[in-house]
Order: sequence, then C-alpha cells, then structure tokens
Amino acid sequence: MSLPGRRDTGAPAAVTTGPPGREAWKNGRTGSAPGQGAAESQVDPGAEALRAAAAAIDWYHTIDLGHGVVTEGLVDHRPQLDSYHLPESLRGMRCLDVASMDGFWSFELERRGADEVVAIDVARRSDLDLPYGVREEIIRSGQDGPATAGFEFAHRALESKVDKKIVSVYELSPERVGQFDLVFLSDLLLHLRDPQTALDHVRSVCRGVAYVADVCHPDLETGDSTCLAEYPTWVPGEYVWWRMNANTIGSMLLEAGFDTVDELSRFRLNVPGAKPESLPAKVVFRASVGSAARSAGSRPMQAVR
Amino acid sequence: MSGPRRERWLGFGPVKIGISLPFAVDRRVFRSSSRPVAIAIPAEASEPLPARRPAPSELDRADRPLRDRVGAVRWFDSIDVGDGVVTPGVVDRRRHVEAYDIPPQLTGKRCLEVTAHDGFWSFEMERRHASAVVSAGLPNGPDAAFAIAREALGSSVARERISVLDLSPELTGTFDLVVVDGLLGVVRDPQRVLDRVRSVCRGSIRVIEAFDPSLEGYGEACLAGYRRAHGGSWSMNVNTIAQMLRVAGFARVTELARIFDAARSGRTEVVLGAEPDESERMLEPSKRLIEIR
Repeated sequence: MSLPGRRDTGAPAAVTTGPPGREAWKNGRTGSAPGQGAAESQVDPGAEALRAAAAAIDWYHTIDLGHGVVTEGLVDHRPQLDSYHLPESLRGMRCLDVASMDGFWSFELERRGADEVVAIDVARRSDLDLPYGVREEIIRSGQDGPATAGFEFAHRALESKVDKKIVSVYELSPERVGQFDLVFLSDLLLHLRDPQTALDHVRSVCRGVAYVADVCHPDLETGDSTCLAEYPTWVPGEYVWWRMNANTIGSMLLEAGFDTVDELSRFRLNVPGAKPESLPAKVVFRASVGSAARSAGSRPMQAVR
Repeated sequence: MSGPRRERWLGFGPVKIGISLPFAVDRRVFRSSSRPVAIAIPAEASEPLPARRPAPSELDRADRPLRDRVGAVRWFDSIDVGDGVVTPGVVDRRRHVEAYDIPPQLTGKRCLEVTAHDGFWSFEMERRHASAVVSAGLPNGPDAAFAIAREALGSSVARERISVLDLSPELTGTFDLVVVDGLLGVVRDPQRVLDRVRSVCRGSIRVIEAFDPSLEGYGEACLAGYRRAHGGSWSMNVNTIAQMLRVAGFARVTELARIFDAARSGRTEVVLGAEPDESERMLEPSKRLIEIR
C-alpha cells in the first residue's frame, strides 16, 4: 500500500492543517471549499491526502498520525494514558503489545523509547474466539475479513519500526516470540473464552512486568476477595465471553504464575460520543515476574460506579 | 425457533473488538418448560469395602470372586454389577435414576457418555437397549474399574480413550443421546466442552452438573465464581450452565431436577436437558449487519 500522506499528490490543498486532535480531524473531514480557508499559506500538501485515506478506514483506536491528522477511532486512550502508569521511558526494554488492533499501544510503547516492540494479533475475524457455528457461518457467507483495519496504515504513517506478527494470544510461547521485559494487554480478556489459558501464555513470554488493563464489572464487586464473573448473553455484533470483577482478573494473573500483582487504577474507558452510563469500567494491573516483582506503588482499590 | 433466539445470532457486523457496549445487556430469561424435581440425597454409608484387599497381581484373574475384584479398585460410580454386588462408588446415580429423564427405551439409538468414570451411564443406556454405546473415558484415566464392571455385566459398551475436546463427527460419529456428568465445573473452558459435544449430538443431551447455590436468586443473571484453588475452573449458577448450552447451539433447554447430595458434602447439582438447534442460526448477510455505535 502506498501511503498518500507520504507522497506529493500535486493536488491543490483544500484544507487547512489544524492542530492535532479530534476537532482538527472533524474539520478536515467535513472539508471547506477551496479558498475559504483562512490560512491557505500554511497548508501541508500531504495532510489532506493522508486524512482522506485515513477516513476510508474503520478505526478502533484514535491515533495521532502526524500532519494534524488524528484517526476517528471508537476509543480514545490518549486522555487516559496516565491511568495506565506505564514507565515514562522504556529504553533498553523489549516490549510486547498483545492483540494490538490498530496499534495505538504499540506505537505508544515505541514512542516511549522501547528498544524493540512486537505487536501480535489474529489475522482474520474468523480467528477470534467465536460461538459454535459462527466461524463457519462467517466464512461461508463471505463476511470474513482482516481483523484489524488500520495497523498497517498507521505503521506507515508513523514510520514505525514495530514488528507486527500474526500470533494468537493462545499461541504465545518463548519459542515463538521470545521473552519480553514489558507485556501490554488491554481490553482483550473479555473477548476470550478461556482467559486463564491466555494469561498463562502471556506469563510464559514475560520476564519482567505485564500491564493488564481490562474491562471489569463494577456490579460484581463485593468488597471482599470474592472472584465473580457474569456470563453474558450475546449482544449482536460483539462477542463478549466473561465480564469479570477485578478480583477475578487479579487472581487469574496470580494463577498464571506472576509473582506479584498490583492494582494500579480503575476508571471508565473513554469512548467519544457514548453515553456516560454505558462506558465500560476498566481496571489496570501490573503483574511482575522474578526480580521485577516488587510491590512498588500499589494503589488502593477504587470503586467505579 | 423463537424470534429472540434468532436475534442472538445476528452476526458479524462492524465488530469492535475490545469494547463492550452497551453495558446493560439484554439478558435472556431461563425458564424451565417443566417443573424441575427437587431431590435430597441423605448421607449414608456406602457399601463396606471387603476386609482384605487382594494384591494387584490377583486382580486380573477372572476366577477371583466378583466381590473381591470390585473391592480391589477405587470406584467413582456405584454400579450394580450383579450377583448382589454394588460397586462402592462416591456417586450413586441409581437412586432417583428417573430424575435424569433418560428414555426407558433406547432401541435403535446410538449413545455417548462423555468423560465416563466407571461407566454408570454407559451401562444404564445399554440396559435400556441402546443399539450402540460409546463410553468416552479420559485419555489417561483409570480403566480398571470400568473393565471389571463391563465384564461382570457382559456389556458390549465400547470404551474410547478420547479427550472431550477431540470429539468430532469425523472421529466419533454422531449420537442420539449424550450424557455429560460432572465435567463442566472442573475445566477452564466449559463452553468449549459443550461446543464439541454439540458437534456430535444429533438427538438430545443430558447435563448433570454441580451449581453454586450462593449464586442463585439473582434473577436472570448468569453468574460464575472463579476458582483459583481448583485450577482456574468456574463454579456456575444454573443460568450460566443453561446459557452455555444455548451458546453451544442447543435449544429447548429444560431444567429437569436439582439434587442436594448430603453424601457428597452437600453438593448441589442440576440436571438439564436440551436438543440441538437445527434451525438456521443466522439471518442472511444483509440483515446481519448491526451498528453498535
């Protein structure tokens, strides 16, 4: 794929380049007639082409691609980065982004100076954990397609060196991908039929710390150590297997073999345009192995209601 | 097939992985089509073991008295193997055997017992004239007790050492009746077990499974407790087990009985019956696209 943003299209620039962010993106998308822009002289000739090409993709992640172009993702993690408590500098570290989707977290790890970032994801929709018969039906009816829409596009736009591999979380092993100083996993466990086995595989490739940030279920918080989960009925278009409370996720990390598990934060996921009451609650854990296992900066649990 | 059932399988629209919207889901009511039977099994001593255990070398000798051979191995199932001998199992399904709603006549039926311990259900289905019975034991599980019972009963039940996760129509064929007893609560991925069972079930299924009474009474909610001390398995409420059957592609899920077993530390079990949903499970593609934004 040739990335429009990286070549000179020679087309007349029609849109002014605003500051990075959602508003700039929206303004660009709606477009203004040539000559209407107040700052034509500041036009970035690549920005409009990049914006147009990005607009053709159904983004999950909101990613700042540069040139003032920000993808219109379903979720925007950018305002909530601090809640994940990632190290400011990842220099000297080999990092893994599990189930990378459009790659927001991969590029963030890279931005923080990681020596190497590997992103893994499944290749096709039919490779997801699907209910009985649905996989066959998706393939038969021609609805199968790439699981990720925007990773490659963003990868080129950012001139990223992230190494993307087609590997399922269930296939992670030191033999397959090596080991990592930092493993990042976000919003994945709820879509897995067997989250415990998945975390076992995550543990097998972690030689340092794992940041596990997943959707949790505030209604199942009991105030004690009870591990509860809800087995949901299916909502059309989404495949959620388990809605777990925070204790369950933490216990699964311990069962997977991490030496210490610290809860770092709880918050509501930022989904632009969604009703506040429908925003999923999230919990962030830091699980550590071996010498990295020291209970540093553990924060008290916070209720999310 | 009902309307709501179809909606559940509305399929693969613009799937947004990594998010669950809305948080409040349309929970499905689990209703029994018939009034379940409540059964209380009192604690009582099982049959006493013989005073002397024969040496293992003596076990295979067919001329040993049946009672001695039975007494020389550990039993999970209590099975009446004839000559007045009942194996001293930890589970006695003989009592209230009618509660499991196994048809009295299985003539012409091909039947499967999944993860059979000592084969109680296999022999029971054979006794009811099933034309063929497969007893799927654990790949590395003990077979000695099953072999003794099979010989004593003159049974022709076929014992297969096969993982439930390997069940497939190609490997095992399909079955008119499948019994799954006490398996879902000891595995990490019970849904996968039911998916595999569904793939070989062409008639009906009986699921006998422990449920967590502390998670009952919360309306329609499908709840499960994560059990780290039990290898990461789930202690489920009845709604969850029933829902898993539906997700696996079974319909007409019916609660047949609940069992309180004082002899097994007050274990509570539910008996569910269901049949494969053979109707078309998804609408045509154009109607399947659902926007969730």
